[in-house]
Amino acid sequence: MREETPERTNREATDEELMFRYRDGDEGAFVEIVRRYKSKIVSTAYRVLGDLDKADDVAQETFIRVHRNADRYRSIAKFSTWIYTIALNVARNELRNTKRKRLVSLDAFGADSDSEFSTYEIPDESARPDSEAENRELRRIFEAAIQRLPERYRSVFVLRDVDDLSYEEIAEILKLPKGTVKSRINRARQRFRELVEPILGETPGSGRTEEERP
Amino acid sequence: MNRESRFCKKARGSFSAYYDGTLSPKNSSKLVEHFDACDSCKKRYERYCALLNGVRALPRVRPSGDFEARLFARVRQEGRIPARTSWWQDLARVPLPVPIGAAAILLLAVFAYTRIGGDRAPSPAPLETASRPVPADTVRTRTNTRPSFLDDLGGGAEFGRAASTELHGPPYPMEAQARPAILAVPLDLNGVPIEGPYEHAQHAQGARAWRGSSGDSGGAVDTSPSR
Repeated sequence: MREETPERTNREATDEELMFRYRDGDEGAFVEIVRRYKSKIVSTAYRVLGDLDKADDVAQETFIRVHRNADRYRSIAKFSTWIYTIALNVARNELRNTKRKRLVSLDAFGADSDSEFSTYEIPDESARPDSEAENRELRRIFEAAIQRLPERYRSVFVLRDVDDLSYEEIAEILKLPKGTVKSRINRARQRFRELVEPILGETPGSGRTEEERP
Repeated sequence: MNRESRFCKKARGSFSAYYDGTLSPKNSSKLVEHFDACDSCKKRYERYCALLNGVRALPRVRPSGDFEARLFARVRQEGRIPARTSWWQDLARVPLPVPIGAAAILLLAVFAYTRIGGDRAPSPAPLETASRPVPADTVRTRTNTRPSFLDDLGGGAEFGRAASTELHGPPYPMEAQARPAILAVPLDLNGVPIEGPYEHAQHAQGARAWRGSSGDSGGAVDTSPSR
């Protein structure tokens, strides 16, 4: 007999265990799954779509599909791989249906510290700007550059460099060979650098910064 | 292009793999040696790392404030998920070409058997082969209408929405009794008719054709949904 409360047990359970519990009727398990993944899925969808409202809708639809197919879930693949696969499919359908906004919504990142999206803390590295304003500006530049990546590069770039998924997971989610994933990540990063460095004052291709030029 | 530029170009092509730790040890050593010799490439790689580290540090985008409320309201509207299904119900979700292919192979085998055995009788229609022992997993292939078959076996009433319309076709109806019973009486592993919510009388004729003179034709497996 368990001494812990069910809620605490769900907090400690793995994603796969939660899915089996939900399949068996434990609704608290689904609540915990949503708690764990809502931000991740909304973030990923936002960076693929460039639209916060649509990202929210994509995440809602993703969890609805998780709910509908809970009885079919088998631990053949990691739950995270499964839910990301669903999210990317829904996001891609949305991309096909709507015209993508090229500009990032600046409201998403909040101009003031009270914004609900102001959760960013820069790692304490000597190369990083110190002021919060510079941080926000840097975030905007990065987000805009991600949105300007071609869609086939943007997906792999977001999954790898934002969501920190492995090559194998990305290959499974996007149904691509691992070699293709590696190649696209390489090109996506090159393209990202070409977009960002001119804004940051460094010219791609020269190999030298402004300070190094004669 | 001088020799150093060729090395530089090759080195820069390795940045991504080196950053991810997937570059081979041999090539990693070469790259490190090149960094020692080429300050330009070294600085370029440092900027490369700084950019990607900055991307990794991008904040999570928070969902809307009422995200969970809206989601759970939709989930409640959808209804509770189906209870755990038994293995045969999982088998029922096998794509249609699979049981059709299996049925085709079985029919060929039966045909060949009758020919080789010198049986001059015409090949029986699928339903009439019930007089011979039939593997249980061929039952569905004869019915060929998966959802209603499961309903008649009593699998529909206790489940909510059992399938996504997008992924697996129309959902199973909520009430098995509401659907007309058009298929043979389900049998347990011993070939004994299973008592259930369906109407035996409606299937009597089909059941007789299916079972033949006795209940030993084999047939559907246990219909009780396992939980």
